[in-house]
Amino acid sequence: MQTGKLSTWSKSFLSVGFFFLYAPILILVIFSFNKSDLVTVWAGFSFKWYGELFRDPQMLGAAWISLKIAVLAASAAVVLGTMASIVMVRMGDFKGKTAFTSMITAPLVMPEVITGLSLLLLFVAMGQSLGWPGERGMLTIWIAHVTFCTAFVAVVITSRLQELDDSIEEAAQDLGAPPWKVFFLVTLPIIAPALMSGWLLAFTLSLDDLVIASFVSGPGSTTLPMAVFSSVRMGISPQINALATLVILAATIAVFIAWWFAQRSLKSTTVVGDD
Amino acid sequence: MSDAAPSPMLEIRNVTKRFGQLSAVKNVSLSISKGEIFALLGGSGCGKTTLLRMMSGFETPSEGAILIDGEDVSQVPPYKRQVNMMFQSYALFPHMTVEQNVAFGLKQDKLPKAEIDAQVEGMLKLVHMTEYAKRKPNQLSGGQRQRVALARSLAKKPKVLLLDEPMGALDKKLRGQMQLELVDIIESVGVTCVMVTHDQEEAMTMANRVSIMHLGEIMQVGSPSEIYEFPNSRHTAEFIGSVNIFDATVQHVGTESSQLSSEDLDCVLQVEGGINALEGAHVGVAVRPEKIYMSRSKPEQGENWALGKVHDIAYLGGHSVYHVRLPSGKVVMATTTNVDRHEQRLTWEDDVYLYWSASSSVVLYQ
Repeated sequence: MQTGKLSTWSKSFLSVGFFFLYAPILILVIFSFNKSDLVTVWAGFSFKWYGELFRDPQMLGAAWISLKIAVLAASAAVVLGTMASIVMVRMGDFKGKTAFTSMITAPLVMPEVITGLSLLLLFVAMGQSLGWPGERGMLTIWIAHVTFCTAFVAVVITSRLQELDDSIEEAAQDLGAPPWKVFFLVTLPIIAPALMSGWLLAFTLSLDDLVIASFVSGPGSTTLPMAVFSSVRMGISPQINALATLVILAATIAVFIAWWFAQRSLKSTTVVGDD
Repeated sequence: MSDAAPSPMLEIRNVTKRFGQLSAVKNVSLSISKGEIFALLGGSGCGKTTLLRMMSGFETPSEGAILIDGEDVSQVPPYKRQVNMMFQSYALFPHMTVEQNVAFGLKQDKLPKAEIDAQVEGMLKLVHMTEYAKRKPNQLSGGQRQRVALARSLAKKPKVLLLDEPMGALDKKLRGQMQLELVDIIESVGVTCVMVTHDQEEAMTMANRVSIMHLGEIMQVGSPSEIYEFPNSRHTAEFIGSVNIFDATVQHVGTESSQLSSEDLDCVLQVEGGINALEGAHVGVAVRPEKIYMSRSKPEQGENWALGKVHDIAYLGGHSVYHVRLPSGKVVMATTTNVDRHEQRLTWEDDVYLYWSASSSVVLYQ
């Protein structure tokens, strides 16, 4: 890329763009330290609302549920996504491969409302005919989240697997490792950074999903985004600002870790300093 | 012949490999004895890589059998064969150190740790990589990576070592050096080796025996000099080195020498010995450029000469290749060694006589 001085025009457009994107977030963070009971009136710096937040059992309960669902959904999505990627990249051409590939990635472009509604219909129909799931709750939210997270994870891992030289796996077989051992000793360690970033991606997606969770949740399984949304409808409390600030912090850390893993995997596989 | 030849280490019996409608390898039979370095040489798409992959077990033959040390391994998966391969890209495990790469195969055999360590150390010493044992592959140069790949494929003491385009990933200067080093290592270990390459120079430098493959079939098998000096077909003659081929008609077949005529030459073409064809048959007569002499005066011999004009000169330092155009329009290549720095050399458009001896020409039937 060319490094040089940007023209005044480019600079002003850039600042307008950044202002548009980040000013709301910045204001939210600033107001999370507001002393006042009113969201929009500044009355001095305090951690008051962070304290309130940590004394609110409803919010903390919802956060705990969301966290559990996100960890479990991300883990399951990584296992399923890896399996799907290996089928797509390593199994060669099989009948229906195109259909399989496009169906795996379909949830990426499917409107959330439709995904949520169709899952709700499925769960209701299954509950009536099979008696399972008896009632909607954490389990159904988890299943729903695994469904759409798998699609994202599959995309991440597929692209990593495609870069991986086939002959590395062949070499392991040639040296006496049967296929299942090749997978655990060679393939998995090499694609581990992609699994990690896939997991983090799935984790954040699950954590901030409101629409799908609203469709398939039941009583007693309110996730954090649902709790926030319903409390905002009653009127915005400064407590929400504090919560949002914490979520932004968590997301930033997650993105940073994912980026770090991606960089590291790039470094360990690309050739440096050929003679 | 039970007592004569020892049983071959690797035997390919009438192997055919089809991919759908396409036959990549057609009814190939080969026999490679213990300790031999054997090269499969051919252009891209000639089936040499498919044949190598069948030896390693990554492909199974559609017909025929592959025997290693007398045992049919056609259906044995790669991880159960006593054959190891050095891949063209080296295929080192990027997440393991040099040491761990070399130890990988030995660990699969569940050998005791002390034995593995000793073997790894020995292998790294053999390829002069001991001081790099703790490095990762991405911290090594191309030549170093190749040594590690070689050590890894030799560590399990395979019955047959396969090399897939061994110099393919190296630059030209390093190639010449690594070719000889590789041969030294392979010979010191005494392993039977089959290599695949498209580079004739590489095959001739490294191998004891070379086979020329073309369109899935083996055209000729022999030592490098046999293949160069006595090619059995136009394809082999043209694939290895450069050659001048005259289209000729058989005039007289004798026991001491035989005569042919060519539309490109005014004189008679004479070759040593008889010809396996009837008088009047059309054959090719091949003469290598370095076997053609050039002179400004008419040669004394009555046969095997031509008068032409220098059409082009390729000065290559050590030698020059002259392209001489005959009156018929045919361009003949002749090589001269540049012995004297101040020599008055032939130049463009000079008239020049070309001549060669009857023993330099080879008759090609196909």
